Amino acid sequence: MTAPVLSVQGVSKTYTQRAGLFGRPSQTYALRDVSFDLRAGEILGLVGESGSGKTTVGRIAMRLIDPSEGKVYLAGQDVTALSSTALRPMRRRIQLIFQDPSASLNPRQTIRQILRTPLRLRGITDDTEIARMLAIIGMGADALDRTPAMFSGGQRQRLSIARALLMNPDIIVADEAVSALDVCVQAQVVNLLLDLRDQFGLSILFIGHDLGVVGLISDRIGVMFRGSLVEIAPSRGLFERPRHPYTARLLAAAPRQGGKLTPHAEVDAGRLSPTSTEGCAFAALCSHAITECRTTRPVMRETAPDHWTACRRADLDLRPAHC
Amino acid sequence: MTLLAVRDLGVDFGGPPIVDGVSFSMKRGEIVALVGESGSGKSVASLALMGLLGRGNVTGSAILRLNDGRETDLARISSRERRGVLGRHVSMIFQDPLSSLDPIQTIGAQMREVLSLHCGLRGGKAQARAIELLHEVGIVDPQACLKLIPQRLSGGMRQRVLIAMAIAGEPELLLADEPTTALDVTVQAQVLRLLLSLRARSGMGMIFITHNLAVASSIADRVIVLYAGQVVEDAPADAFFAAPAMPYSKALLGAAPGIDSVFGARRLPILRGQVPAPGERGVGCRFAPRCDAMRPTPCQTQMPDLLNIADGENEVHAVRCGRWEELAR
Repeated sequence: MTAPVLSVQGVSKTYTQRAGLFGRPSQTYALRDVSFDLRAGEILGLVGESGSGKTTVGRIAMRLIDPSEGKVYLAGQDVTALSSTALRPMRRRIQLIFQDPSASLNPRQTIRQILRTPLRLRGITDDTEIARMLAIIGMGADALDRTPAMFSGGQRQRLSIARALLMNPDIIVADEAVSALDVCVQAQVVNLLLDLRDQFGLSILFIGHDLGVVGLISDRIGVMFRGSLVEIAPSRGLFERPRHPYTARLLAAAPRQGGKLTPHAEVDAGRLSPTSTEGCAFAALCSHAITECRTTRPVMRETAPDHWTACRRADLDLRPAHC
Repeated sequence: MTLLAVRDLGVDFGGPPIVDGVSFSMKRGEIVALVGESGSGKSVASLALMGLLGRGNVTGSAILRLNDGRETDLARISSRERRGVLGRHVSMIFQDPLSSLDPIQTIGAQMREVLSLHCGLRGGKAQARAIELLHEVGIVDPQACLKLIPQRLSGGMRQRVLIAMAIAGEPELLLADEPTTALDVTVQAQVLRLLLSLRARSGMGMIFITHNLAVASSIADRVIVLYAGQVVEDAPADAFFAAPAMPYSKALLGAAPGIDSVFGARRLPILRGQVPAPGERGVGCRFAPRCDAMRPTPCQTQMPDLLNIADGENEVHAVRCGRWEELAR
């Protein structure tokens, strides 16, 4: 097996907080000991709720922020400690697509100017590649002299994908790249990303919160909860037989077409309690937690081929009820 | 018993109509989901019902029957009358609770203002009622919550606070515009369940605006699909999800991958093109340019009527498609 295109090993990110001016500083974990590989040609989904750290993972993978602990490898090379100059040639290989294309495309530039920038960075002066790329994303040359405001949200997102691809990357980090789009447009962009993977062998880290979309596009999915990666598995295995109670809860909460909820007034537990530094991050909310869960941090273990979970309760059957 | 009868509601801003001849009616205690893509007119229609458009011409009628038997036409109500209706008989919650709350006032101060305006409660009575309302929407420690500013609350709690304010006047109708779109799935499920239990307790009707059909399915009794300003399908939720009749509804359902059906298909079905801008609509069916079932006649030549195709009497399953019968076979 070849080396993974991207490997994140034991990455943590901590922020120091001080309670008041003279308070004692305390560490808050935004990420805690996260490890995973992105394999060549793979689409790896990352799901989790707000504050789970999925965006932080993407940023650390791109070295936009530095991890407090742990290592990031690009194609086997340790890039954790590279200076920004040394990082430059590596940057081309990993490109980011954001949620809101209208905020990431300069409104004053024409599409031609926007798409020339990556080529200029690569030292290419002619525009043939731009025309080819426009064809790939399903747009014509007439787009070139227009500004981003003249396109719909879906078209703009395709243009920002084109811009990323013109850097000729190996890896795309798509951070909620389809979340702001209408369902029909979202379907087009999802299909485009799948086509690009098939055509160019791209590897994609697909960060999202819609389980349906992430499930469709991803080969494997990592589930994050409060800074920890709690489960990572092939998509089908994860959906059909989740091994972590948090994954099961997330799947159960996802609304379904044709499904109905029953009235039931659940209480809001209020603000999140700070993540326990000792036990499992999910223990306080988990109905299966045993004493050990609250005292010792679980380690990732393989429960089925390629199916890893950070839950010590090997005896649980968390198969969703609807299956 | 009809709660709201909307007839031929139209909204324009001087140009072609944004909402065009929208008619539907809902019963007391019914939850109606208004679904559609951006540009379908769902938010403009609901703002028109609330009189919150600011400008724009509203035509048609929207008769609200109050509990005491009085009727009021929301489409042509004077701003003075509206003050008596909004908050008390009809109230609204929005997608982003943070922008609906005053960032520098405590939850308590904001709730007391609502209770004073809509219920005439002041002082200790207002305080007691505020605590009761927060308790009703599932906030564990209402006393503490009242002392906080909105920023100190999580997104789910903020939406609960807004719901508490919206139900303070015991409205007969609640308009909810994408109220769970900004929330995480587990919190979304909690808020949807809360809305269902409030309906069960108070019999309040609800217009639930969403672009997410799975969310609509979770909560609604009826689903109304809007496309380019028009109602294109209006059906009981069960019938809608079992057998949608309008090709657009089918396309919408197919484009959103459900978590039970994502495997096997490696691509999503594509609906080409986009919703036509108000100035670019043809004379025929507005969905025709994007429809796989389109035939030049009648689809491009004649605007189909919204037909009731329900089997039973007193039932409504309306569809705007010239070929629905052939397609149903």
